[in-house]
Amino acid sequence: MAIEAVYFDGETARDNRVVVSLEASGLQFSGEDVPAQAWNLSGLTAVDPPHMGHALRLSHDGHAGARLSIRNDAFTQQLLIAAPHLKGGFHPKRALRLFLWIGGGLTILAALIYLTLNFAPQRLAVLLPDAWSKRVGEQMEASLVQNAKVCQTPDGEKAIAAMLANLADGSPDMPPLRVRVYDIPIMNAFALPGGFIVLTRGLMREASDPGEVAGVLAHEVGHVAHHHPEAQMIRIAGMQVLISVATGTSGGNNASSLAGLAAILKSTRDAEREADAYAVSMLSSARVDPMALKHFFEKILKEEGESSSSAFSNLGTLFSTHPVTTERIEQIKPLPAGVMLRPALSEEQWKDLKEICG
Amino acid sequence: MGRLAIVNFILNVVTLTIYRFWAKTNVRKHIWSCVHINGQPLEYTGRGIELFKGALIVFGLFVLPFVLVATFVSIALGPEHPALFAVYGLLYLLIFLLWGAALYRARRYQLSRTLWRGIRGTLAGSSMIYSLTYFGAMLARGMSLGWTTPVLNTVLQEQIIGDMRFGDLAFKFKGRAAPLYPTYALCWFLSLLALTIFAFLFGAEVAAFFGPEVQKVFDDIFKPDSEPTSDQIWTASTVIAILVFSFLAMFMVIPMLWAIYSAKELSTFATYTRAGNATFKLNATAGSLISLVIVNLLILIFTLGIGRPFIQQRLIRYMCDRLEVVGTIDVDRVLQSRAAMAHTGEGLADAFDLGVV
Ligand SMILES: [Zn+2]
Repeated sequence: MAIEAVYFDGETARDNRVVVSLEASGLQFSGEDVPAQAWNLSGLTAVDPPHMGHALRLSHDGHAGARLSIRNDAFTQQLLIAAPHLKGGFHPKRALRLFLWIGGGLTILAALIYLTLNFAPQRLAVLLPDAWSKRVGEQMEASLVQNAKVCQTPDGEKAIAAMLANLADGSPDMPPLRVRVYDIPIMNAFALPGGFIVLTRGLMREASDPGEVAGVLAHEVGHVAHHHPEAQMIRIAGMQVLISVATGTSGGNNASSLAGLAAILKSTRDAEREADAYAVSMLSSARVDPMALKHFFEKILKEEGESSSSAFSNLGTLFSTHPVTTERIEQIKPLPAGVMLRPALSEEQWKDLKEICG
Repeated sequence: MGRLAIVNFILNVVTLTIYRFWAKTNVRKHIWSCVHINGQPLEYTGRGIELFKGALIVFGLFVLPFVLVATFVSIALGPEHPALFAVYGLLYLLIFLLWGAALYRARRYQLSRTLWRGIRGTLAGSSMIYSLTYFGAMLARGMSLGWTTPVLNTVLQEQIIGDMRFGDLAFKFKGRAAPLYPTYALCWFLSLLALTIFAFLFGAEVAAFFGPEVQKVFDDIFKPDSEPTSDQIWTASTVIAILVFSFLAMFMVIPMLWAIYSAKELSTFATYTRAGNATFKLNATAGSLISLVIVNLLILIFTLGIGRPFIQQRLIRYMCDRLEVVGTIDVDRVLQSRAAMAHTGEGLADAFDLGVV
């Protein structure tokens, strides 16, 4: 069967009439200005899926740019029987390639997210210059405490210094710190980048023993020593920029907003475990009873458990930032029987500390 | 087409939108085949992978470096440091500077993947020159409260059409902006009037909303465990309905007014365009353009965005159905384009579309 068709050679825009026949070797065609040629069937591709009543446009591997347009349903049907791949449909090879590309894309995406959230922050935090973390920590402390006033009495500050000195006894590698108590009613304690530690009046009120404050303080020192605040800050900063790029929002950076701060202050479970371990070992070296910290955690867990339903406040009452769990509490063990314990502060100093906010 | 749209939508969701490059390509293949010029259909030869690679390159060269720099600055100087705003400002500037280039390069990619009679098109000029012109035009447009728009659009159109080739056949664009001005002035004053009216309505609405009586109704309704009376619900829903309606009306009326100008511009620009011995006529009218836009909007809303391919098809159909080629192109003498074909495409356009910042 030989039919008329239109041929474009891909070199000029001109349409050539050709006569096409379907042979064993493939499609053979020739025309007035078109030398005879054959397109084997396996090299054929249909430009659009074949539709009866419409022209079937064909291209061929070996002749990039050339097109053959057949407008003859009977012929098209014969051709489709001889070369069923022209019908289109599912192409396992093409589908696999597509799957690999998209899989690759998703893998890159996942890797980026993993890098931003898990891998990079802790490693970069160690490399961060001190001056940078101090600058950021100062800014964060200012936005965190808002206009709460800092509690400063000469005796109270002396008491804090004494407690730090007691804790440092036996831990010569304690990082440099600046500890301040703020007049904030909720009970909490934060470690910020650069070794800034914030305690609240609420914490002083709840603590019934200097050992409890010392325990919480040692825990925060643990965060500082492990560079957790810096790591969390890098994590949040990276995530915020990623989100702003992906969603097209942004303009300013809102790390200083309450939501941003809360995210930065919220520790990961691993960080809590590390800070607890640091605290216990620091307390042991200083011969301060770690059981005080344990009791304090138990007290918080009890209170938090009762009030957690209404935990919708911004910064959260506290240990929402250092989630207390029974597992953490169980990890705190008493010191061996022979060790001579000593108080974290003298009676006098403890009274001064309690009254630091007036 | 319906099946295509749904399959594309599902795959887009499953692949976190990475499939969009292949989806776009499939839609274009379909739309292009349906467009006939002087009896011959178009063919789209682009591939999804080319768009994907284009997007990856822009991500690596543009998006990622920005993310790193911005993160670095925010960590080094603190989240509130002015330098951070400078970084974001610079990014905005860069985006505005490159906006025209993104349009131009996307258009060039599409033309180079479009075959008619086996011959492909291209844009023969520089995307950076176009981009600078485009940037300048944006500034001038803003500073003149829009009044330079007809002139600027004519200049931009002249640049891009002048660069357009079909094979080795060059397009030409020549004409003045003056004939566009009466229509532009009409639309400008009409939208000013519309805005004023809406400002009044809106002001009255807001006054009612925050007036003591209405305010009290809302307070009562939103009190915990309140049991509002049907009167209160009626008042509240009326206020909200009017508010929503006036907002919607504003977003509908202003674009509709400007459709008058768009129709005028489209048909004028068509007559300014030549390719060889052929000239063009585009029968665009404000009414048809408005109904096109409204129906498209309704499709988008009622298919929850899945029907986007139909919208593109309708837009292209609109142009092709109403475009008339006057005179003939001597197809025997049009030779294939020798312009190099880029292996990737539309990366910038994709990045901006996604809303990089
Ligand atoms: Zn902690």
